[in-house]
Amino acid sequence: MKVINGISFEDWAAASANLVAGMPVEEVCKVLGVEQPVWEETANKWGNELGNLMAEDMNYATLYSNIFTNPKVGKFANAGSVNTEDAMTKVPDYDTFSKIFWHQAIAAKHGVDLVSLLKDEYNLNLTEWSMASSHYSNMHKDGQNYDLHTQAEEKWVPHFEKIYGTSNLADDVEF
Amino acid sequence: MFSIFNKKKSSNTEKSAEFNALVERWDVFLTKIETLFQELILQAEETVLESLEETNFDPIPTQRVWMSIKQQILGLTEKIDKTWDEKVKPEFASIAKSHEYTDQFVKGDNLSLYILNELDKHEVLIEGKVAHKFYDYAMKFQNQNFNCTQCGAKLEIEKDIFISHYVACHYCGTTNTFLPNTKVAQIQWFAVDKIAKRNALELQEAMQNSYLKIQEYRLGEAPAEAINDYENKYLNYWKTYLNERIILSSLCKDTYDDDIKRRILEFNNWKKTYKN
Repeated sequence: MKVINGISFEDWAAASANLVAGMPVEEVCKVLGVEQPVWEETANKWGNELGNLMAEDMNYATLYSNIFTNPKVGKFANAGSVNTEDAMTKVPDYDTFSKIFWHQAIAAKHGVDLVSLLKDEYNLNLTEWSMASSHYSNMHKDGQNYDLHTQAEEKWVPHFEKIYGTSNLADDVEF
Repeated sequence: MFSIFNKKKSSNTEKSAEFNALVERWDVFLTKIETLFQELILQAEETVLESLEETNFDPIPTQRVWMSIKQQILGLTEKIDKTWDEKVKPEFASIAKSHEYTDQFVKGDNLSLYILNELDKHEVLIEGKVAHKFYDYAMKFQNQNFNCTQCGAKLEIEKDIFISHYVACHYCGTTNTFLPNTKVAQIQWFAVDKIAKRNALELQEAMQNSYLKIQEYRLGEAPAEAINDYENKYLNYWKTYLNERIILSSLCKDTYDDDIKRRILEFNNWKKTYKN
């Protein structure tokens, strides 16, 4: 695959994941061995190129997503503090995953900042949450563990609706 | 009252009084939902614009405010479905045969569709307006002076580049790194696409209407004229939208050819699937 300004697809995806996980842009540039203007131009071009690649083959979306959820690759193999073990320690089981998932889903309806919610309530950054989501979502491949999913929904949705309130304006309209 | 959902008044003259009373209650319910939708959408623009100012032009919380209004609006369509399934349908089923109240279900469905279509349109309008307001505010910071780090000469910055870039000093030859103000750096991802989309909204609607005409035919059977019309409107929209982006951000110029190629590829893929 092509490289842009000397930065490969793999390194760009890993750099993006590390940025989201909180690595300062200066450090990202240091790992990549480029200055900030080069990084920003490259990130913009790769973002556009990904769109072009996906128009031809949707597998590129999966490839990007895989690197994003496991960014210990390429030049970032030994850089950054993001790792799967941390994510799995913070989200150790399916019930915890479901709790966070439904917490986010209901909080979003109330205009809550989801990045802050993950950080403040669960000590997670977005990349760690992506890793955990990817891990537990695989449990539902091909319709498996449907009951587990339903049970978790029945447990956590009322729990968070109670906390946030339903506050749906449509509830005021009665038939 | 708007009564978008009640396009065709069904004749209930031969139905029982109980049936007609139920239809009336359902109509009243749908009218209330429709009124609430109109109120929400009217207030939405003002609320989101106010939020932008109140948060010192921070796009993130402003987006969250819009998202929560959207959720409230989507909640209206969920309410229609839920009320039909849990209350209205069982009541109809207890006094009539299913074919006698199908049009009542369609009324609810029409209203949901209307709400979703209007929401799509207003999303482009509201996000475009908010983005424009943000753009005007952020651009004030782009007009500040930038001097050469070596000789202090005033350097000319390209006003329509919102990412960090190199600027050569014409006096001493030093290459300077220009790092845009935080607000300016947000223009590219927050404002450019939304403003361009709003400016091309009429053409987007023309494209969507042309596609709807294709959908009036059975799958794969739309005539060549309909496909050609859609293709013209499709390209017209995308070219206009992409050019609108370039007017705002010269960075988008570099990707124009690839962007157009991608849209053509996507259209051809659709055409291939449609014909098969």
